Amino acid sequence: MNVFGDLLQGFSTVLSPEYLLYAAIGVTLGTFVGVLPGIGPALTIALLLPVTFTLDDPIGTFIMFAGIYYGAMYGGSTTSILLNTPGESASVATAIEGHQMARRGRARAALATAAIGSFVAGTISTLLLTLFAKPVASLATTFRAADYFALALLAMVSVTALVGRSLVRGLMSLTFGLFLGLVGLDGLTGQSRFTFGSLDLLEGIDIVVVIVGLFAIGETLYIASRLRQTPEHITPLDPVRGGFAWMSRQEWSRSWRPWLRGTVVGFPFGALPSGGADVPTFLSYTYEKHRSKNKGEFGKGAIEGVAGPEAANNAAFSGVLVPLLTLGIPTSATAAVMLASFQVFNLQPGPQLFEKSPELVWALIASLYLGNVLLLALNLPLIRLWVKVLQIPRPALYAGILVFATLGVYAASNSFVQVLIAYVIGVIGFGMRHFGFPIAPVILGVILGPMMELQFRRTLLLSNGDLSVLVTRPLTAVLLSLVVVAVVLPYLPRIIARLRGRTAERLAFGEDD
Amino acid sequence: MALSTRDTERAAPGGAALPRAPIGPRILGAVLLIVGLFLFWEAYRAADGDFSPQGPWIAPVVVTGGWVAVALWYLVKQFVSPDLPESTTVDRPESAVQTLAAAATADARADDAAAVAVPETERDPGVQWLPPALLTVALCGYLALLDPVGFVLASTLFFVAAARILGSRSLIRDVVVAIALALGIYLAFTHLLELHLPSGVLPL
Repeated sequence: MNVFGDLLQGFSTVLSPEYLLYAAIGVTLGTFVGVLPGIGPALTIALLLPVTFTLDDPIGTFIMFAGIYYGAMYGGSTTSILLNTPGESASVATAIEGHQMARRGRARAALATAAIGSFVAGTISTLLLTLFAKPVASLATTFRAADYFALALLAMVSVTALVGRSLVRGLMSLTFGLFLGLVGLDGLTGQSRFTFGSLDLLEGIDIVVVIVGLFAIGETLYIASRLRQTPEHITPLDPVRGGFAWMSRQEWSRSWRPWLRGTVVGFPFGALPSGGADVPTFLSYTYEKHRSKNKGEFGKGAIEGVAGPEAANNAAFSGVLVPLLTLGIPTSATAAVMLASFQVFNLQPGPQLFEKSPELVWALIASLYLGNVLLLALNLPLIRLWVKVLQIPRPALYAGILVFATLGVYAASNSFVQVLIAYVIGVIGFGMRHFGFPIAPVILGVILGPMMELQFRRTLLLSNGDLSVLVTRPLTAVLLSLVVVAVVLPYLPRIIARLRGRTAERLAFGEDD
Repeated sequence: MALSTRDTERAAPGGAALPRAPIGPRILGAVLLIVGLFLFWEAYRAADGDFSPQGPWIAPVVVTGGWVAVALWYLVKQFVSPDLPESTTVDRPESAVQTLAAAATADARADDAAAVAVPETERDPGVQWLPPALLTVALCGYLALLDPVGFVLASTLFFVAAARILGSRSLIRDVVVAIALALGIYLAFTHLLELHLPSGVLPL
């Protein structure tokens, strides 16, 4: 069956009332948490895991999760534009120009270009995902254990090196994550590692516990330590100019090219192990800024600076799904949670997924097309509702997050000790935020570390302990040399600048949540 | 350029009089190093000479060894080129774009000026340590009460306490929201989803 036959099959699954409901719940919930500052898609999915497990419907669950991921990006742009508080770091670029537009009374135009740009980028990139997923999956069947080891290493190292402002901090976060991943019984030999005699640590530290600790508890503690510095002011919406005229003719003509360029940048960067949407959104912003005819408007509310990064942001999500579905390699924190949720249902993303559960994969991809349409319909007309969500009092909101966090971990593990571990990780997460350590490498370390170790040991078992397979097999060698490139790349501008006799800071991007 | 801006910002009369090189990161570096050494020793001892690459102990030794190395690097960095307090926030939009712009373009100087000029509203009015400490205590209390008292009562109490710590001043609204939230979650989880939550003293 060709790709379009598969896709039609997917649509016929998704267009049943039950799955439509899942998609609608997903995008609504996603927009909701995206609008709320401080909660991201990763935390939402982690908290929903125990609930979805009892529903026992993997297809519906993943349709919902994809909706949450997408919805959170749409919602995040609303918060960035109206509040100048980027809900997630991929919206940071949007906040710069979008908020300025809102202050100049063009909030609706900024929201519209973000939403329509997201729709355009989402649809095109989903089309690309549809076309690329199966070829990549069949290519991936030739991957061996050594290649998976190198890939996991590449994903971890490049996210650590590219995300955040300091390599040493990123590496410290990564090491902490790797350590957390080691705790518990060793899968191959059954030896207990770093359990310090505690029976509760034998089963290891679950990814849900880590995510809830870092994102919910740690984040709330961080907010609590900075209560005095939240001058929150929602920029009011400008009055409606009637019908669908959210953007003027000129704004349309200034928007469509950045949308397409953002898509072109976003999709491949999402697919590469580079930490999801942060890098492409900043690249798109910088690019639009430099080639725009209205260069002087940048910093004061240039619509190109909203259109490009928002498109890149959404396109990157479909890109992130390529390595996640075809290789089982997550390249962002949210993708890492989605991988964990696949494992909850005893599904292993990777080349086999397309053969074993084609129904699930194609329903998921079809639901992305659907989710985009739903989000466009949900966002612009209902914008007043989302502004109301922004007005939820912060103390009640964060108190509620803590209750849900405790509930989520308890429901997932049925153990008070696990909740306590989540609290401890939360306090560590607070310290990390305070001292500027990035969070995403911890998550990737926890989920990719054990995978990497397993593949490494499997490689050596196959080669009878001969380490040279890592460099003699061409694919593995290429991947491993890319690891080196990823570490050196952020320092490249500095090296070049030094050669040219001036100083520059290293490349740095925001952090994905 | 960025550093000099922060310097002036720090020296501004509104900002707290912070010491030139904050002591916090140095203490953190030392703690990380000690913890790393302890974990490394723990792994080394447990490995008991078994460092075969297929064995279960190579990964712990490598990871904790890496931890020690990175912690040492961090600690040394704090003495050689200490971090300025403001630079600790990762997600400041202007700085991220600024570094990118500075790196990506040859005419970096003009960009720097433009990027720094964007929003200079963020200023650090000092970090409060009491609210997060109180929240941590409240969380532990919540966990301790969960089983004996039950989910609904414990969550209600915790919600009200946490909202107050976080600066809420409308007690009645908090209590109403807390009861509705706790009861709603409890009924939804135990009846609709059939997940177990501690029922405690209330006859639910």
